[in-house]
Amino acid sequence: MPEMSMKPLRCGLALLLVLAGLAGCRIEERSAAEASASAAPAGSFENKAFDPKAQVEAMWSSKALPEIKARAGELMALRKAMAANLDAAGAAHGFRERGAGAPWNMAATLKGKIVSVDTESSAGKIGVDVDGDGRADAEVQIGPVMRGTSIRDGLSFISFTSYTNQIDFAQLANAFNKKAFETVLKGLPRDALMGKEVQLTGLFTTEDAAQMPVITPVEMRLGAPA
Amino acid sequence: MTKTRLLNALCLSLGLAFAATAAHAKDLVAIITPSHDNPFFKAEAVGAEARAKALGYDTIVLVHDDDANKQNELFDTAIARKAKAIILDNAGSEASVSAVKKAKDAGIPSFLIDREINATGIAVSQIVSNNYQGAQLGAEEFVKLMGEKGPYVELVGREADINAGVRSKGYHDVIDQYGNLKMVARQSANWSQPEAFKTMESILQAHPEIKGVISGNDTMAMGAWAALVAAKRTDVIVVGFDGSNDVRDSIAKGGIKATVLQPAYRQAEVAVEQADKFLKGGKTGQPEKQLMDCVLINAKNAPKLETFTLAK
Repeated sequence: MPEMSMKPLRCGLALLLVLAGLAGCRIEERSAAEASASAAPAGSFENKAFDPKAQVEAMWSSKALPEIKARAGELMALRKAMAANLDAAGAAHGFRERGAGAPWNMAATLKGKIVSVDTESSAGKIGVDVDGDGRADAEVQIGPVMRGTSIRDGLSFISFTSYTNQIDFAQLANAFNKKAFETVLKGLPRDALMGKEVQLTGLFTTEDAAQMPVITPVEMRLGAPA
Repeated sequence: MTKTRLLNALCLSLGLAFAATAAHAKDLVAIITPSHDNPFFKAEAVGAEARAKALGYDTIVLVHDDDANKQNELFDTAIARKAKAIILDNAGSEASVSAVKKAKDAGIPSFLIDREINATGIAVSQIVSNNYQGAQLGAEEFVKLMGEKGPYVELVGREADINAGVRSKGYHDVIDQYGNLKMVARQSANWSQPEAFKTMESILQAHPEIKGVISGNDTMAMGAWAALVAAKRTDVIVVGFDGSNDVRDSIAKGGIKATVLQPAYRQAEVAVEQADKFLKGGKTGQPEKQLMDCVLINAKNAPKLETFTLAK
C-alpha cells in the first residue's frame, strides 16, 4: 500500500478509484501535501489566522524597545559581570522565561569600531572592537538573513504559553528579526562598513560567558570612519 | 543482651511497619510514549522511569504506537489505576487534547514531553525540544556540507505530528535562502526506518542525480542511508535529527554526516521533577510551555554522545 500511494500518478484511473475506495484519503493527503510542500512546510499546523508581523508592529516601539533599552548594560562591563557570575549578570541585564539551565538573553549597548565585515554569507555579520585593542569584542548580525531568537526570547512580556504552537512562536521570532533588519539594517552601506564607528543596542543569547556574543541589533547608528 | 535483642526486634518491626506503609503510600506515575522501537522514545521512557523511581514513585510504562485511540485507552488505564501524574509524549497535537483533558477532569495532572498539544491550560507542563532552532542548526550544517548547491531530497515525518511540520519549516526557512539548492523530492516516511529505506530506493530511481538527503528524524536517516549504501551511493550527504546512538555510530564511520541532538533523556527527567514538585507543592515554578534547545552533532562531538545526552 505505501509504495502504491507514493506514486499516485502512475496508477490508472480505474486503479485509482479502487484504491480510493480502500485508502482514498491517504492518496489525497499525500498529493495535497506534496503540492503545497514548499508553500507551507508545516502543513496543517500553519495557523492562517496568526499575523506575527502585526503583533510585532504593535509592540516594537511601545513595549519592546523601551524594555530592551531599560535593561541594556554596556558590553564590556556586561562581559566582565558575566565572567564573574553569569546568573547575576543575567538577572540584571538579561531575561529568560524558563528558569535555571536555560540560556540568558542579554541586552547590551556598545560603541566601537568595525574591524571585520562578512557580507559574503547571506547571514552577514560585522565584528566590533569596543576596548580599542583591534580585536572584535562582539559580532553583530547585519542580515539580510537574521539568525536566532534573541529578540523574542529577551522580552519579558512574551510567553511561549500564549502561542498555539512552536510554528507560530518561530514565526514571531522571524517577524522580530525582520523588523530589526528593516528598521535598523536595511539602509546600511554594506560595502563601506569597515573601519567605521558604530553605536548600537541589541540582544544576544548566551550560556557561556567565554563565548563571543552575537548581537541582534534593535537600534544602530554609524559614525564617520574612526 | 536481652535489651539489645529487644531493641533489635523493635527496630525490625518498626522497619517492617515503615516499609509496609511506604509500599502502600507509594504514588503511581504513568509514563506514556510512542513505541520503544525508536530509541528516542525508549530513552524518554527510561529517563522518566528512573527519575520517578529515584523520587519514590511506582511507575507504569505504556506505549500508544502513535494511535490516538490506543492513547485514549491508556489514559483510561492510568485513571483506573489512580495514577497521581501522567508523563506523556502524545499521539497527535489535536487528537490528544481530549485525553489530557479527561485526565485533568479526573484530577490527574499531565506533563508533556517532546510534542506539544494545540491547547494550553489543560496540561501542567509542556516541555518540548526547540525543534525549530534544532532544524535550523541541522539545515545550516546541511547547506555547508552541500557547498550551498545541488539537488536534494527531504524526508518528512508523520504529517499528523507537529514536530514533522516544525522541523520541515525550520529546514526550509534556512535552505530556501540558497537558490542553488533544489529540492527534487519531498516525501513522508512516517518516522519509520523500513519505510524510509523503500522511499529512498524509489527516489533514487527517479532522481539518481541527488547529492543530499535531509531527514526529519534519525530513524528515517538510517533507513535512507541503508538504501544509499545498497545502491553504492555513499557519496550522498545525509543529515538527521534526534541524536541517536545509531546515527552517532554512523557519523563515526563516515556515513551519515550530522544530526541534531534533542535532550530526550534530560527532558523526561525534567518532566518527572516538575510532576513531583507539582504534586508536593501545587506548582512547578515554570511556565506551562517550555522549550529546550537542541545541539548540532557532527564528527567533532559525536564521540561525546550517549543515549541522547551529550557529555560536557
